[in-house]
Amino acid sequence: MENQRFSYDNKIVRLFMHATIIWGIVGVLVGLLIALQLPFPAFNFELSFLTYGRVRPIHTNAIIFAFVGNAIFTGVYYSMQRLLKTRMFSDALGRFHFWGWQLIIVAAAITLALGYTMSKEYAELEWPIDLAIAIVWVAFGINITGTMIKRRTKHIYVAIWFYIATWTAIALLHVVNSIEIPVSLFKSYPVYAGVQDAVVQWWYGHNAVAFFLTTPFLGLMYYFLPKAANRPVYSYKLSIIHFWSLIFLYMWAGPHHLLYQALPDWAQTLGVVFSIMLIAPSWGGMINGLLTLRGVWDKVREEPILKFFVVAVTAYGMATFEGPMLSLKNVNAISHFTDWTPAHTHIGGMGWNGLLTFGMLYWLVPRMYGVKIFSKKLANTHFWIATIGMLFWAIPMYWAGVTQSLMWKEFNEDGMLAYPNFLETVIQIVPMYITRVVGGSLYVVGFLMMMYNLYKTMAIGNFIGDEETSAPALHVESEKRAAGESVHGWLERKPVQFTIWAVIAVAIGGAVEIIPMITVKSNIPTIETVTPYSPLELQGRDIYIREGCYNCHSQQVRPFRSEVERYGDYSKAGEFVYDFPFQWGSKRTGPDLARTGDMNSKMYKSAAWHYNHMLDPSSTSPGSLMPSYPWLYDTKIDNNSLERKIEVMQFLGVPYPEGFAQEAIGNLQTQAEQVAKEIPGAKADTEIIALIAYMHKVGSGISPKK
Amino acid sequence: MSDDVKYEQGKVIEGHEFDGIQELDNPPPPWIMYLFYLTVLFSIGYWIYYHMTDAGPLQEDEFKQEMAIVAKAEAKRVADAPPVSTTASTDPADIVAGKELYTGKACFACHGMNGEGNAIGPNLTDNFSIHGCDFTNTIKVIKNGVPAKGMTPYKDQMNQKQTEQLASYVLSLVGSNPANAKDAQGIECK
Repeated sequence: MENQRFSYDNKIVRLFMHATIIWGIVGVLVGLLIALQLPFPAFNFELSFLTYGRVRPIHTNAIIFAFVGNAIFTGVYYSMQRLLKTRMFSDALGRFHFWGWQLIIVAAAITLALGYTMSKEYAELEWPIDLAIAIVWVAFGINITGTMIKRRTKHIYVAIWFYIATWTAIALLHVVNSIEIPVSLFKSYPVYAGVQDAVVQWWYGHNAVAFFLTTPFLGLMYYFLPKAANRPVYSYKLSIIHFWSLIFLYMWAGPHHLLYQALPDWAQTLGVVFSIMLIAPSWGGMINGLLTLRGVWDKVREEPILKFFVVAVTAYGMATFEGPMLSLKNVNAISHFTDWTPAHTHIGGMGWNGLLTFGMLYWLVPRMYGVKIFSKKLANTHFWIATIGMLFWAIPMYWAGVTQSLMWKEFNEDGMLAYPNFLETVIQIVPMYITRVVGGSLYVVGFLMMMYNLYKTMAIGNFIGDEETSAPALHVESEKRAAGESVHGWLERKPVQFTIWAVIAVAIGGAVEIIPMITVKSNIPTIETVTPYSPLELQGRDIYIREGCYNCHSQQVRPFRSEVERYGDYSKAGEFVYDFPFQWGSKRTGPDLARTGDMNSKMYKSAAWHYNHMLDPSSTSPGSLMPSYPWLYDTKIDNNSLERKIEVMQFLGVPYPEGFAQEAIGNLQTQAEQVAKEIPGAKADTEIIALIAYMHKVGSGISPKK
Repeated sequence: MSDDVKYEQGKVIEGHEFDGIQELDNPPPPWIMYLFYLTVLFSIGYWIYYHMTDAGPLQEDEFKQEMAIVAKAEAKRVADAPPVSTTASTDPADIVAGKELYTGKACFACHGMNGEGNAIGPNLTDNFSIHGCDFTNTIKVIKNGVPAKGMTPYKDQMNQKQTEQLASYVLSLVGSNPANAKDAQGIECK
């Protein structure tokens, strides 16, 4: 067979690599800012666009989609060409993918800062950006599929299986979770409400972790780890088993984010058991990585790249054991809503994604620039400082999570909550919040060291934009399975069939959980007294969403004595049928707000209290960490799209009377006057009035006001 | 390395070479397979326990069980707590304890540091009251609150003795004439 000459495109890899580094440092710095805001609310600067509720989604999106996303594309574009012995299918599609993705990131940062958000975690972006993501993702899909088709290798390697699973699953998750009806250019409502929205969102949220943070990185590991160690992969068979079991089982585990919440028991159980069954498939990746290093552990001592990989893979192993443990209901009852969750996610994010990315970059830059790394010693220092920083970050958060949870649940000898004031449990963990800032700072310092080291390396080297190479052409195989060829071996040379099977594997779990939630009525028993939001309350709710209140406040009382005692009756599925989107939250940096409208609840506060509280939280709650919201007091409620909002709600099935959209403004003004009357000095047309009206509606459905 | 002894080095699979990466034909370590089977068995058992028999309580039953135990303790708590006194205490120890509770429960957030009242709650130092002047009524308001007006019930946060101490402290403030006192609300006390 004749050798064909061609070149690898390193320029696209370099573009994604620069983006990884730049967005990475932005992402960790924004993380540092929000870590500072928790113990020191002054760092919110009383500016809407710098307030925690808006900045926290910028941090999560920047890390997940900008830093990790670009790292994935860097590694995929580099490894795929080499694993398939071909240039990428289309240089132009690659550029479109690159610039499209960066534009989406910029648009995301700006819109999130301005408060345009769907409030669904890691899917906050509004509908025009959702559309753009879909288009860019399709371009990426065409490019990788085209590359597989024009490949010069017979089989596709395990790394690429993981890239295929990543592409198909993310496409599915993004489309299903982003079905929304636009109200205006930057506002839309999801088609799912309450429990349904929660199930769809956490199916998405959990599997964004699975298919954006896990499977692509397993793919990268399968390429860069054996390359860096110069060792064969330990077990091909294990690759097959853990790949298929992982992608099939992952999709079922979403409901573990909703344990003890207003979700049917059967769905919760599926969330528990599929999480437990995920331990071995997840560990399959870890042990295949670690066993690949057997015999070269002495090299690990010398080589910072391998150190990064080993700790990354170990962090992956820890996080994927911890995840299933947190999915057991009795553990989740302690961990959920506390800082244990961010501790868990940061072992994954800083450890697995961060360190693997760093190792990959230290490997790539010298190769693409044809030189040795500028300073191996500095890379080693980066490794240690990042690892120590991660521990300084996570350990205090584990500590804080358990401490606070035990305080929430403690009763005194009189049978009363030992810490009835939520704030007492917050003040207790402030020292841990400060320690976390130290850990985060160390991680940032390490990142800066890497930037210096890599750019120095680039400066001394010469970039090889088109890497000349050659490989024999692929001779056409028969469609049918050859004698002695295993089924999987056959599938590995049929990328399109492979993709179809991957789609089937990932589609089942979500379908079994989501479809009954939408079609079977008994899953969400009706509560007659639950009524739709009034126009003012709806506007208030949209302000609550805009300010990202859900980042610190849940709206979900779990059926525990300690929660019912503190917050009021536990949450029922039927209460949320008009909640587009749901606002259950996932973290209680402040108290739960599910019963702020229920006068039988201790969470009920007067309008005047809310008015003073949100202007200066420490006036009513000394020591509070909550930011203040002065702009709500002079911004007028925007009623331009109110009519359309009501119409969209009606379209989604909310039973407003016919013609209500036209009466909405009048209705809103009347209610606003009533609310404002209760508060000395309040202006009826300001946003704070709408927010207070919403607070007095939340959770009132189970015991309607007389 | 001990790993080498434990996991026999497999053979390189022929034809599996991707950009220099080879794969070995090692079987997966047996323990990971057993671990997987174990988790599958656990899952089947879990489903049977909670959904196919009455053995495992689902979350509402679990809640009822927890509250049933509490109900017994609750009955005891109520029985244990007859009023200690029907009149305000003037014992300095009680007044000091009451003052600590006034701060500890953040009463000042709505009634001011010295009971002078603010934009949220009424003045406690004048000779007027919205819900009754005497000790018994003060106790009642602290315990049950006035939810519609924003006064939170505190019956689940303080025992009888503490409630009486707080009420005694609050009544001791009457006539103290603090700065920035809020205008009188309610009816004049006799």
